[in-house]
Amino acid sequence: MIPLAVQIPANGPLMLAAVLFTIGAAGVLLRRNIIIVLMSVELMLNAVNLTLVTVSHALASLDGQIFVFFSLTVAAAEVAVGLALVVALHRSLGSTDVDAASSLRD
Amino acid sequence: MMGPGPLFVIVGALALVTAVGMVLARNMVHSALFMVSHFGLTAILYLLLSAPFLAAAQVIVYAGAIMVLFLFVVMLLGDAESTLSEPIAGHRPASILALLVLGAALVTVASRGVPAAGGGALPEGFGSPGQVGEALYTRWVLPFEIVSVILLVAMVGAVVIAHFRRRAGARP
Amino acid sequence: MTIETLLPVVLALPLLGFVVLAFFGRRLGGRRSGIVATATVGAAFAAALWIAALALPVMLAPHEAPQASSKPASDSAGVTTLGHGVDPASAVYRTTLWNWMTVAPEYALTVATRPIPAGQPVTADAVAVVNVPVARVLHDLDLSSTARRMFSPEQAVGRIARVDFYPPPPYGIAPLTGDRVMGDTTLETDGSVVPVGLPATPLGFVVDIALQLDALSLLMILVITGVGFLIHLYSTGYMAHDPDRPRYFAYLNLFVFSMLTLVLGANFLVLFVGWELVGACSYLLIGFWHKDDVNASAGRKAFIVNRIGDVAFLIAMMLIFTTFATLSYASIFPAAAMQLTLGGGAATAIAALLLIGATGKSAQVPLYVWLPDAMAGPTPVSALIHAATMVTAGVYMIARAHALFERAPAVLAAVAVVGAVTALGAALIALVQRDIKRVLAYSTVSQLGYMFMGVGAGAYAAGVFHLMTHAFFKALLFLGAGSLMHAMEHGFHHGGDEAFGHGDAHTDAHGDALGDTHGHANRDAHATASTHAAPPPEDGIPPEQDLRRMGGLVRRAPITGWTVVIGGLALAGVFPLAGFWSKDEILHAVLSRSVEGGGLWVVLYAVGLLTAGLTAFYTGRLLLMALFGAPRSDGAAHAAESPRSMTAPLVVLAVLSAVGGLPALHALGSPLATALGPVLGEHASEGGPSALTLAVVASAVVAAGLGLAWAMYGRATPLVEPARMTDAAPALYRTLLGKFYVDELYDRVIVRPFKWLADRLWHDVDDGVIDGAVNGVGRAAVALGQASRRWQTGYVRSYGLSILIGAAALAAWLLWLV
Repeated sequence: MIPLAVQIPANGPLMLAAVLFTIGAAGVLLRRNIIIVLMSVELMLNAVNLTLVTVSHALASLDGQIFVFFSLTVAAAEVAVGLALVVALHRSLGSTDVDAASSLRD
Repeated sequence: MMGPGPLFVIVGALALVTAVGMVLARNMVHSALFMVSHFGLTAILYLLLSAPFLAAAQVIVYAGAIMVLFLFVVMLLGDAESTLSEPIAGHRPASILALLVLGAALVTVASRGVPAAGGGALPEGFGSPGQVGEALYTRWVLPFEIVSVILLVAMVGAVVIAHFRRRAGARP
Repeated sequence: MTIETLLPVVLALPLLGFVVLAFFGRRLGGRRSGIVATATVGAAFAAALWIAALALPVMLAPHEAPQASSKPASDSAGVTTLGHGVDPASAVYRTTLWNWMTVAPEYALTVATRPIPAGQPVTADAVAVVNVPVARVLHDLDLSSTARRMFSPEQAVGRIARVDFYPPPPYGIAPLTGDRVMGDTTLETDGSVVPVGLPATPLGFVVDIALQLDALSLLMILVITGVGFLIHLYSTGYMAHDPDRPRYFAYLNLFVFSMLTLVLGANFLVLFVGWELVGACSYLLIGFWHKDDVNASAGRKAFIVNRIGDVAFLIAMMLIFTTFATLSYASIFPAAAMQLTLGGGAATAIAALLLIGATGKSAQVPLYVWLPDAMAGPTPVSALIHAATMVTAGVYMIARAHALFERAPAVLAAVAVVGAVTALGAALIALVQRDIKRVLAYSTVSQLGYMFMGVGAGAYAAGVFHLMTHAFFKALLFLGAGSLMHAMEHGFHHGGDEAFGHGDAHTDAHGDALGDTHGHANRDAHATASTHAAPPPEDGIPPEQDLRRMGGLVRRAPITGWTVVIGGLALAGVFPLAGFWSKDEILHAVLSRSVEGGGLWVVLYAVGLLTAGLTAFYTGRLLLMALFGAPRSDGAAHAAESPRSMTAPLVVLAVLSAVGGLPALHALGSPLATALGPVLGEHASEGGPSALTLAVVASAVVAAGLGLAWAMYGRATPLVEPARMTDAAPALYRTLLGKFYVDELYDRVIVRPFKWLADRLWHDVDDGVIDGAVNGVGRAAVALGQASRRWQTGYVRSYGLSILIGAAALAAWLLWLV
């Protein structure tokens, strides 16, 4: 047991995660650069992971950590595919602007 | 519940700063660097929350692999600069309003804490690689294997998507 | 062979003919179609005769006290069963072909109709309609499992318990309540009262395809198959040159089958099936030459006007079912006296609706307008359907349901009044018609009015008797008219190129040689035929059926001529022909009613008498104009007798018209009344004026009518110029010629407002409101699509914003608003 752990109240990390999630969402919505959008998504994922770890700690249950492990793995896969898409998109549109990919409108 | 420890406050504040910096930086390389700092700080938080294995995994996967991948793509595509302008009318105020509402709601929920929190003492070695490994290979072995398949599929998918143009060169 | 097995045979034979002709008619060809049709109907007639031979001895056996036996056998019989069986009291034969529409088959049961000793449980097999007496009806409702599923025991208890509260009737038997006792029910009686059950009444909507033969239906099937056979025979000659003979005979056979269904049905639903089928056949045959618009619209008119009556009949049937919980004659009529209050609302409604149904089918005021137009069909059809059989269905139905009508005396009087008005009005119109078929058509309407008067007066046997004699002489007159038209056609055609004295050449063979191009009599409705000598129609009347162009035909076509004379005199009511007896019985019955019924019946008698005079006059006019005097056209001068296949039925019918009155003769023990008595339940009319006096009075009136006709039309130089009569009251003459303008009135009052309404509904409601609504929905969808299309920006971030707004709203709602 790490001594510092007991000093951490559960709601502190939870609130931090909530703010981080919102910041990530803001990045997704407000930035037009697709790579930064992708990073922001990672940020949101990370915020959720933080929540999971916090709750796992508070409940003294390993399940949350296991879930974060899976989440990490899937996030890695997602980044790999997402960046591949970014590359493909850049090739076809010559841009990393998400708004450039708006042909679904028509 | 005791108040937040000083280490947590420092690390959490830094994590917030780096997150905001990541979102607001014009240069993508700066963003990426902010992100890696943020992930490192998160790893420290994990350590504080009795998740040493996850902290290690976080550093290796995010700060290592994913970070490198991002930087690689940024360099590959060149043009690291990006704009903060907003072409869609009304998008920014509406987004900010919705974000404030959502953020307020989330923070409100988070401030209530975890109902059963702070109960019993954590078992010895909680979150250590040994315990996590044991759980992964016993109770969670099936999802674990499925995740490995997902990684394989993602790898194949990434290769196919990234090579799309070259292989289908005949297409317009 | 028993009667029960023969009954379906009578029905099946014409149906067989119809089916054969419907499927193979074209292949068989016209001639063989005629043979098949005639043979099947002839066989049906033979079967009907066989039935008569079996049934008549029973029916004519002397009955003891007139009507005591028609009450349900409440004393010794014990249990009345369903199905096959003869009611020994009144010689009623029933057979159930098929249990059709049986909703609750388990509930067909026997009902106790015997006294129940005190304390002894009465177990009904399932459900019974029991007239529960003033007794303590208690406990132990042991329902069968099925019954339990259908009715909750609480309901059943409630229904039976209710009986306790009935006031004790003075005569010891409670009025019939129709309470339903379900399951094995224990009735506890104190022994002093006697539960009386209805005759077996299966509950639920149980309608069997069941046949019933009694004296009334026996008479009807004999008339239908007999006259039908003769008319089939006649048709083989009359329609010899029509290319559509297979279709014609198929319809005719279907009609005979339908009419037999109507009269043989053992419940109202089977009757109604026949009722609708004969209407359909009538429609098909009126419009047989449907390529001519006038014929087709005449068919439609008949169908639609009939439909008005049918709707009323249908509603009456529903009322009967709600009242009696069954449609079966065997259960309804004996119970009518107990179940329906005399002159009560239910009885009056049922009877009035049945009357409306009857006026439609039997062409009575106000629904008679279709019958004169129905003459657009081939003449044999007019004879069979629109004179002898179908139009009498209303009379038959009233006679059949007399038990219901008697519970509503007002409606019964209305029947007589309707009949009288119709009789007089139609006779007046017939006075001035120039088309021989129209004279006969209005005469038919008038005579049907007579029958209504008869049944309305409660003299059902007299009405049915007149129905029979009228079937003989009116069929004869129509067939004779068809034969005369046939003769006239021939005359018109041969008038130019053939000299006199070709009488013997006109045999069957000659008729066949005429070929199709000859506008035969069956093309009568419109002289579109290519007869080179025939003049154009005048006043819309084809020349060969225009009385003004006839004359002296009795010399050219003697067999037809003299048989028509017999038929005409029978219609006029000349002693001793059939019409005399039946008409006399009706008049006698009507006047007898005045003893208790008062002045109304005297007026009705006077109307009847006047109508008899008018009938004699227009009949005399028809006979004299058509058959005697000098020929008034080429066609009449060169007319030729019809083939034997046509004259033979005429002769048979003439004989029947002459002797048709015999069955009612008191001197012969009036076998007709003896047989019909138990069925129709007539009270022998006591008192009143003597039959002889009335007969003499009626004969005098008839003689006066005939005399006037002779004075006006019988001599080369008339004693009374017809023109003087018409000039005396030109307005009346025009009104009569215009048939009281009833068609015009209906057109103005009903048809045109209806068309206007339909037009408005079409243009304003359908085009405006309904189409507008539909189109509006379409337009709204387009507008909605146009509006929502703007949500689709194509920007991923906009979609993301939508998701975020949704998530934020949901979170906020859950957190702060719930």
